[in-house]
Amino acid sequence: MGHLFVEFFQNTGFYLCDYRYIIMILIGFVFIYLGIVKDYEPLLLVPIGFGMLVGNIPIFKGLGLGIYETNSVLHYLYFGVTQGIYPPLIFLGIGAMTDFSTLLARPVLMLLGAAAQTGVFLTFLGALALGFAPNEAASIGIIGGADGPTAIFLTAKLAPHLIGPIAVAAYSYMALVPVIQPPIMRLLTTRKERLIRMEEPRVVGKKEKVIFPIVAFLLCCFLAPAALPLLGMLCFGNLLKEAVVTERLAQTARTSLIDIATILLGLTVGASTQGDVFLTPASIKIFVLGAGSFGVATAAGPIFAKIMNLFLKTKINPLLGAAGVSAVPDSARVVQMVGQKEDPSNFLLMHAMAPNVSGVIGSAVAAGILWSFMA
Amino acid sequence: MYGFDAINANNGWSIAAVGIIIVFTGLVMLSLIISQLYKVLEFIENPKRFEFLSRKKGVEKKEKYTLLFLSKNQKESAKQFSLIIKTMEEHFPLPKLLRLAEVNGLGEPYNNLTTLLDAGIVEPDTEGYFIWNKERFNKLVS
Repeated sequence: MGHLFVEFFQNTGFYLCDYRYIIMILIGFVFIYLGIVKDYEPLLLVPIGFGMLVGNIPIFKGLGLGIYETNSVLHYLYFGVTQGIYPPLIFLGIGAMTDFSTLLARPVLMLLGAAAQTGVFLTFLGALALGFAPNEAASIGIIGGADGPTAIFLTAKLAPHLIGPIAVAAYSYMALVPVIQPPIMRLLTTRKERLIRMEEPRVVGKKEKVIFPIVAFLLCCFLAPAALPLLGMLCFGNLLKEAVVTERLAQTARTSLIDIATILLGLTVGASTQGDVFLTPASIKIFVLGAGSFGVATAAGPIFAKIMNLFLKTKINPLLGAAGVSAVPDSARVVQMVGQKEDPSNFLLMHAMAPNVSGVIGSAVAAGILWSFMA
Repeated sequence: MYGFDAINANNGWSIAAVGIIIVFTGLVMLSLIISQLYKVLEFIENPKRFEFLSRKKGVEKKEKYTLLFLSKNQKESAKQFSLIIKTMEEHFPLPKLLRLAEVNGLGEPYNNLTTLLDAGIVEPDTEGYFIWNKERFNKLVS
């Protein structure tokens, strides 16, 4: 009877555990804490954080429990990540909940979304310089787009073995937008610039809103066909929303569908961070490069807005540039918060949504370009 | 391989440059198209509104100020404000002007400041501050 107890004990997590699992479980706690207590992207951080706990229970290999074991349930759920299925579904939902009115009212703000993608390509260079292969470097660079689904999608296509660290880095920085962005924004702008008020945007007509997703899809996908899965779904979702007659489909896309995809994606990405696979020097490099990428992407927007102001008659508040990263709507909220610290009566949120949503388009196009170069 | 050698070996500079150019090209083209979209739609829906294109120039410009004349009291108040303005910087925040008006005991500062705004004597500088429009002041008060 004694040996049964010993055998049982040898199969328990207490026996199989090593320090790497403990570290990852602690990181999982931090994610759950940030999500629940600090309210940083809770819809993402709580599933990922709990997924980290799930993925880091030390298990006896061969039982078909771990996410990397081909016959496990988690492995089947993870299929949606590795094959790039969940990100387009999330984009469908994002499209169905995004209002492009402010972008249509002031299209020039779209350039700020393009400027932020500079960070993606500079980080690509940085990753190459640190010894990553081109496919891996492209996947790391896209973290600067601050778009979790895009980062996962591209990594699934180019460097599937890096999905865990890249997804965790991308979502961590997305969640930390309110912490990372304000110092960079304040550093790059003067008080006078932060006080600039934006003109009231014109009213956008219904027809414009319906035509926009079709035009945007055709133009961007003709230019960068590899952006098709993401942009196609984003624009389709938006068309469902704006067409009105398809409201029932839009409602499903922006509620149940995106929620299911987010739960499955978050949980399985979290579970993919198994300590023995995740805690490697490459992961640390990815986190450092990701932070750099996000910082450069944030800085590129305000700098580009200042350059635009040299030529524009009606000046743009350079803070809006920081919303060019596609963390929707968090970076737009941060712009509002920083702007209101200087002038409580200055409302920038609505204006910041324009570069913010164009950042989503920009990062999907950037991902498409990188994919087509590396494929 | 590390550093610039790795970037050069993998054609990194070209990929980054071309990537940035394509992203900008795409979004610039899209912004150009959508900036003209509403005009095209408006033209299709209501071509009559564009008849002005064939009309000669010289149509009278609409007055942008809502207040075109000042009463005697309003003129007096504007003069008092002009004295305060001389102590301030060229671009000033409105609350500061209001506070100085109150400190200096000007009568009904809120109403009188609204009058100056309506008359275009105090104007927003589009950067969050306000300026004193001397030309307008001279026209209406002097």
